[in-house]
Amino acid sequence: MNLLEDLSNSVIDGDSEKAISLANEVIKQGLDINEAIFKGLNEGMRIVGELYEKKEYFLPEIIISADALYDALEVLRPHMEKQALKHKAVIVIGVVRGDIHDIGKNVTKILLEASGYKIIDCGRNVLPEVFLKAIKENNAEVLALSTLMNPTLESIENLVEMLKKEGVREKLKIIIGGAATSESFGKSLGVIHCDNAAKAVDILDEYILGGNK
Amino acid sequence: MELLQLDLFRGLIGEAGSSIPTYPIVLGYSVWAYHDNTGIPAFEIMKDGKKHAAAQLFVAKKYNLPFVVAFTDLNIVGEALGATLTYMPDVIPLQETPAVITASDIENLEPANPFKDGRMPQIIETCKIFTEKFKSNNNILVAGGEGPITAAGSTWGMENLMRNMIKNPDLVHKVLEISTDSIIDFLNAQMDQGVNMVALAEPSASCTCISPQFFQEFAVPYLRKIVKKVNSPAFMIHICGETFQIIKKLAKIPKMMSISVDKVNLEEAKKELGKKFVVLMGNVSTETMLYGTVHQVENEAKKCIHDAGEGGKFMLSTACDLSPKTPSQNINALINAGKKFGTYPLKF
Repeated sequence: MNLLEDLSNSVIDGDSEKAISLANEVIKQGLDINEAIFKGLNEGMRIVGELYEKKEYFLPEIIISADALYDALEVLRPHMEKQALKHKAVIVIGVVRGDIHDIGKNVTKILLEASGYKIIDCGRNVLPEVFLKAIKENNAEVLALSTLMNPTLESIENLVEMLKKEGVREKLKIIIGGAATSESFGKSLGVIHCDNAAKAVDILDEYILGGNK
Repeated sequence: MELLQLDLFRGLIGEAGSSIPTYPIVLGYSVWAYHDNTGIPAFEIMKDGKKHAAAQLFVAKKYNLPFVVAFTDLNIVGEALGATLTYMPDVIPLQETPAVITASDIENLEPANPFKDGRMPQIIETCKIFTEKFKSNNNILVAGGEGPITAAGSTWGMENLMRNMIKNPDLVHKVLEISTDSIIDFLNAQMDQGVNMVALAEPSASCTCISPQFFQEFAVPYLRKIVKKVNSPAFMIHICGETFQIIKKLAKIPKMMSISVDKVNLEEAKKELGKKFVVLMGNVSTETMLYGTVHQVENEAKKCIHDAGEGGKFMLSTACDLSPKTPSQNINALINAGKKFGTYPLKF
């Protein structure tokens, strides 16, 4: 069997033990680590995202797939060459001030990271200044915000307003998601709305790689 | 209380001349509204049964609502079992850390004491004040709490709970057992104060989070245990997110009189529920309530009535708890829409 395909399947199955053993096999055989990550692990996670979108997978399945992916990455990372992976873009992500529901954010982070974005995770219940600092320090091109709760929609509005005042809004693509957000809310703020973590990769690829303004 | 005497019930059976009852969900909203009106910080309201009751009654009276519900947020059981929360000045608190993390923590976990742990005593006092100050033939006083999955998620951390639904279902069942026993004791203590029925909030059990199969395996047995062991004649349940695939399962639970839905096509949901007397509640968007005009609220309300009002068994409501700062005129528009567009026989 193809080792890359097996790696991909171990992520799809959420089988950490198998993913670790296959990652060790990659090292033992001296295979290209970047290829193992992108064509094996990340490809598996991409399929997991598709299954989530088709409602064949739900959050528990995504969480164990992500566990398998990260467990295998732990094995591969020390063997990765110094030349860092080329990322599509840097994304600062977080759950806005006033909300701590971070499963949606974590799922989005996993899928974006697996597709080749560099993620700076600010966590949950994040103050606007923390987002601003992370954006500036990492020269981020994208800010991804999430909130599950209605009361914290205002935090998104306030944050966008602050980014305008700080002069970083214009160069930044902002994408929002989470149960409390909607397309019309996104439009009202002039930001991209995404109603499903699995779609975030396609939407951002379109904006970042496809030149969509 | 004789349910059949209530205007509300006549509306629910679609009796000619009666109107579709309306109830916007105002649990956490009431904390913000009372804080906004009095300047009392939300953390004081949340931790004091008298102020908490005053907050809920303030909104119920202001909008002449048919229900007043005794709880506000989704971390009451988790907090009582040991989760830590951050209390906010103006809105409901946020969870910081779960009550248990390791398997041995779970082994040592015991059901909460509703008269001692967390904010449970304050919620029980809230129910007592409801019966003293608001009991009448026109009001329904409602005890409340989280559903089993939501409570267990607050207790163990939602990612841990969901991961182990696959990896270690036995451990998940243990946390669910303890959470459910805590819910049962908590709700019975509320019912003992003289309130009329129970509302459960179970957002983490939606199909946005877990599969219908997992809902059947991890939620249904514990919901059944709650309705069996809690001394209430009727239950209502609110589940945010997508629920179409599980509403039939919910409707099969005895005494589950009302299902409040969020991201669901009401017309399809009404068909799915069939002839059984289960009241569907929903689902004007809370975003429209917050940002929309009166006209937009009325249009959404009309669509809900059009889709689900025929033949009764429908209550016009919001898709979730109202956001803080939702304008009063929009809340009034929704409440009036039941009479304005939903008097039986309906005309469309």
